[in-house]
Amino acid sequence: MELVWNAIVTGAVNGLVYALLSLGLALIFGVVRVVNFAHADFLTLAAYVVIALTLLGVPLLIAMLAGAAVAFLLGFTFDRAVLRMIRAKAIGDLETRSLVATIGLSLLITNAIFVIYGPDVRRTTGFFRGSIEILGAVVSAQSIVAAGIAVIAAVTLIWLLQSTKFGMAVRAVRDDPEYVGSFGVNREMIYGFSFAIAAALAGLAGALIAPVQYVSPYFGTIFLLKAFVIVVMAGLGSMVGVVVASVTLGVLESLAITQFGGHAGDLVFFGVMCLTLLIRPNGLFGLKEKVA
Amino acid sequence: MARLGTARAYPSLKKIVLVVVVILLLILPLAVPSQYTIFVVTIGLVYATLAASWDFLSGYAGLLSFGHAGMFGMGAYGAIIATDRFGVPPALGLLCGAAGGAAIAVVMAILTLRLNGAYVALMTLAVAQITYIIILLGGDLTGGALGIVGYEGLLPGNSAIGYFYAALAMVVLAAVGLAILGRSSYGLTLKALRDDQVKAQTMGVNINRTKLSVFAISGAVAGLAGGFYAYLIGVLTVGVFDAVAFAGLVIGMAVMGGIGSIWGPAIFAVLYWYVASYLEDSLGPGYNALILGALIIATMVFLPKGIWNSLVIRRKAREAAPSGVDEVQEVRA
Repeated sequence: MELVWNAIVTGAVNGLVYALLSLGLALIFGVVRVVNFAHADFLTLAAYVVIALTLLGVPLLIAMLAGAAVAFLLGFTFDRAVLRMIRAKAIGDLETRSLVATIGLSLLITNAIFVIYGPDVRRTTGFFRGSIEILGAVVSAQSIVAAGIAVIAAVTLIWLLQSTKFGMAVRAVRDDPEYVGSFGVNREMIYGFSFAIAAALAGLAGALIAPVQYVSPYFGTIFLLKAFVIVVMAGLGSMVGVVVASVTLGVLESLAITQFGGHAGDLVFFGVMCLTLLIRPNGLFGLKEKVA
Repeated sequence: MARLGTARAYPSLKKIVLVVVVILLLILPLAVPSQYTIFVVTIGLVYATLAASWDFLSGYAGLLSFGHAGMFGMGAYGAIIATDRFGVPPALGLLCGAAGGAAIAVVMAILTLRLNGAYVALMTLAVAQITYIIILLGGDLTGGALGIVGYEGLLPGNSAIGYFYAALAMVVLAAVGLAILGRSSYGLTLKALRDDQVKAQTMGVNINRTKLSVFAISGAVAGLAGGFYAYLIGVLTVGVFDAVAFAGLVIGMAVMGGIGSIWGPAIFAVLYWYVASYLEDSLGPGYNALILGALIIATMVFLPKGIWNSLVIRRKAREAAPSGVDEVQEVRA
C-alpha cells in the first residue's frame, strides 16, 4: 500500500511538470494553430542552460529562471522571424508548412546542443536537499519545490488568460483570428507572445527536470509525445482540463510502471490517446466544434 | 482544363530532370568506385521510397501521417520474421514486409476514419508507438530489445552494387506506380477527398473505402521500403520504429521536395540523404542536422511549395498545393 501511495505522489509531481509542457503545447496549438514539433526541445534547451549555469556557480533558482527566459526569447524570435513569414504567404497548407518549420527548429536546437555538449547524459549538481513525509509517502524537497513552481506557473497562466486584457485578446485570436483584427488587436504580437510564453513554460518544465533526471540532447522526444497525448485527452480550449489530464496521466503512468514495469507507462499514454480519439475526439474538456 | 496555345513539341523540364536523375543514378556505380558512397545512396533510395509513400497518403489524399515509422518498422519486421523464423525466401519476404506495412496502415485508417487534420497525425503516431512497444515486448518472435541478427540477405553475396540497383528498381517502380495511380480517376478521388470531404461524399465518393485503400497502398510501399532496409542493413532492431528518423525526417524531405508530386519528395530524399551523409562525414555528427534544420526552415519560408514544385514544375504548382488554388499562376501560364 505504501508503494502505491508513493507511486501516486511521484506520479502527481511528474504530472504537474508534464502540465507545464502541455499547457504551452495547447496554447500554441490553440492560438497559433501550429503543431509544435520543437516544443519539448525548449525543455531540453532550458535543462542545458540550468546545467551550464549551475556549473558556473549560479544559484539553482536563478539558473532555472534563466532557462525559462532563454526559451522565451528563442520562442519569440522563432515566431517573429519564421512563422510570421510563413503566415504572410498564404500558399498551400499553412499548418503543414508551419509544422515542418518546427521540425527544422527541433533539428537546430537538439543538434546545436549535441555539437556543444556531445551525446553523453548530464545532470546538474545543484538541487534542493532533504525530504519530508506526507501521509506516509516520502517526498523529496526537490519534488515539493518542483510541484510548487509548477502550480504557481499554471495558476499564473490561467489567471493571465482568463482575467487580463492580454488574455482576452489571446482568446479572441484563438476563437476568430480574422475578426479580431478589426478591434485593434495586433494579431501578430499575440501570436509572438503566445509562442514565447508557451516556450517559456516548456523551458520551466526543463528547468524542473534538470536536477532530477539525466539529460541528453534528444531526450525531448518522449516528453513531446506525452504532451501530445495530454493535449488530446484534455481537448482544446480548457487550460484547467490540461492540468487535470496531466496529473491523471502522471499518476496512471507511475502506477503502471510500479505494477508492470517501464513500458507499461508508455502503453498507458498511447492507449489513453487512442481511446480518447475514438470515444471523445474533442477531448474530455474540449469545446464542441473544434475538431472534426 | 484545355491548354491554351499550341502543344509543346519539346519535353517538359520535369521529364528532362527525371531522365537525367535516373541516368545519373544508373551510371553512379560505374563512375564512383567507393562502396561506401554506393551504400549511402542506396539508403537514400530507401528513404526516397518512403517519402513517395508518405506523399501519396499525406500529399495526395491530405491525410497527414506521423505514423510512417510504424509502417516502415512493421515492414522490416514482417520481412525478417518471415525469412528468419519461417524460412520464406527473401524475395517473397519483401512481399511479407509490404503486407505488414499495409496491415498496420489499415489499423491506422480504421482508427482515424472519424478524425481529420492534426488529429489524424496524432492517432497515426500513437498507433506507431504502440506497435513499437509491442514489438519490443514481442519475446522470441521479434527478439525484443536485442532484435534479430544473422538472417539471410536479399541477394546472394550481398554486393553493394546489387543492392543499389535493386533499390533503384524499387523506387522507380514505386514512384511510377504511385504517380500513375495519382493521375488516374482514383487519384482524382483522393484529391477530392483532400480538398473537400463533404463535397466529395456528395459526389458519390465512398469516403471510408477510399481512406482504407489509400492507407493500405501507402503502408504497403512503406513496408516494402522497411523490408528492403532490413535486408540491406543486416541487423534488425526496434530502431526501425524511430519516429524522428523514419517519420519526422521523411516529412521534412517530402515537404522540402514538394508535396503532392511524388517525384519531388523521392528525388529530394536521395539528394538530402547524400548531402546529409557527406556533411556528417566531413564535419562530424550533429553539424549535418544543424545545417539541414536551417535548410528546412528556409525552404518553408522562401519556397512554400517545395523545391520541386517551385523550381521544376512551376506552372502546375496549383495541382500540388494541398488546398490553396493559385489562380493567378494558371492565367499567366
